[in-house]
Amino acid sequence: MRCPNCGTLMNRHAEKPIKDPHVPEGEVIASIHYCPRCGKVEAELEPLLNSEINFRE
Amino acid sequence: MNEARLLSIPVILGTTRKGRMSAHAAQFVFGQLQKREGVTTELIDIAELKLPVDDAGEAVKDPRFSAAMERADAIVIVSPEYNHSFPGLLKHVLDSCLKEYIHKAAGIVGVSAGVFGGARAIEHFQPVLRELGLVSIFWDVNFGTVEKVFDGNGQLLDHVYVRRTDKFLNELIWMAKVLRYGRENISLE
Ligand SMILES: Cc1cc2nc3c(=O)[nH]c(=O)nc-3n(C[C@H](O)[C@H](O)[C@H](O)COP(=O)(O)O)c2cc1C
Ligand SMILES: [Zn+2]
Repeated sequence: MRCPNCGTLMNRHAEKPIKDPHVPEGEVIASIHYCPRCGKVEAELEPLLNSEINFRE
Repeated sequence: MNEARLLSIPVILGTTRKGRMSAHAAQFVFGQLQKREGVTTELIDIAELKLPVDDAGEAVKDPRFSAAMERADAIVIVSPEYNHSFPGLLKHVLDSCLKEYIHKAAGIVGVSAGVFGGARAIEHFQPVLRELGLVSIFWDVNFGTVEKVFDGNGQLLDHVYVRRTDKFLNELIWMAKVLRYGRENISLE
């Protein structure tokens, strides 16, 4: 992913499950990208697969 | 690490109580951070954010707070101890962001009327920081019996806190640099 601020190639450094129900996609994993030049953070949402869920309440 | 950009380490004043002593602790730590070369800081007062309380999470995000968290390489949370934990409104504010925090350092400054300097509130923070994606450091600053540490004008009366805060900031800055290096250079497999 390119930084929307400065066009630098961003580094994908984390995958984080997100449970906030305001995220329209429901339960998701966010890939977190960081711009080494300007510090911009971007999250790319992907659906969380059943095989990636430890347990459901 | 990208040396051209200063390390950004905001200080969050974590209570809205009128007459809060935590404001003195936050001002003190903020002042110590301002003396550090290569660091830029700002004081964020959660009382000034006035987040709505009729919703929660990303829905109440404040654009200025979100931008400050995105810029941050580390955060200092100044938290009083209320009934053996941290204030609910502080958690409400922290809950309004998520992606902004990932792989960034967090240090907690505890403030209490009791002798333990917010130690119990600091312990309660640990699972919360972890879920927010923040990396907790092993130094805290504990302002116990805080009414004896600062006078009414916020002047520090007990100078041991200068050295303690230095140790805390040394570790926080180290962690902030390491994590920035990681965010910039180390990709997830
Ligand atoms: C609702 C509430 C609960 C409190 N509970 C505790 C406590 O559990 N332990 C303690 O040492 N002090 C407690 N205090 C006193 C605070 O630690 C004290 O006010 C201190 O100055 C830090 O908080 P402040 O920034 O609001 O002044 C409590 C204060 C409030 C308002
Ligand atoms: Zn950029």
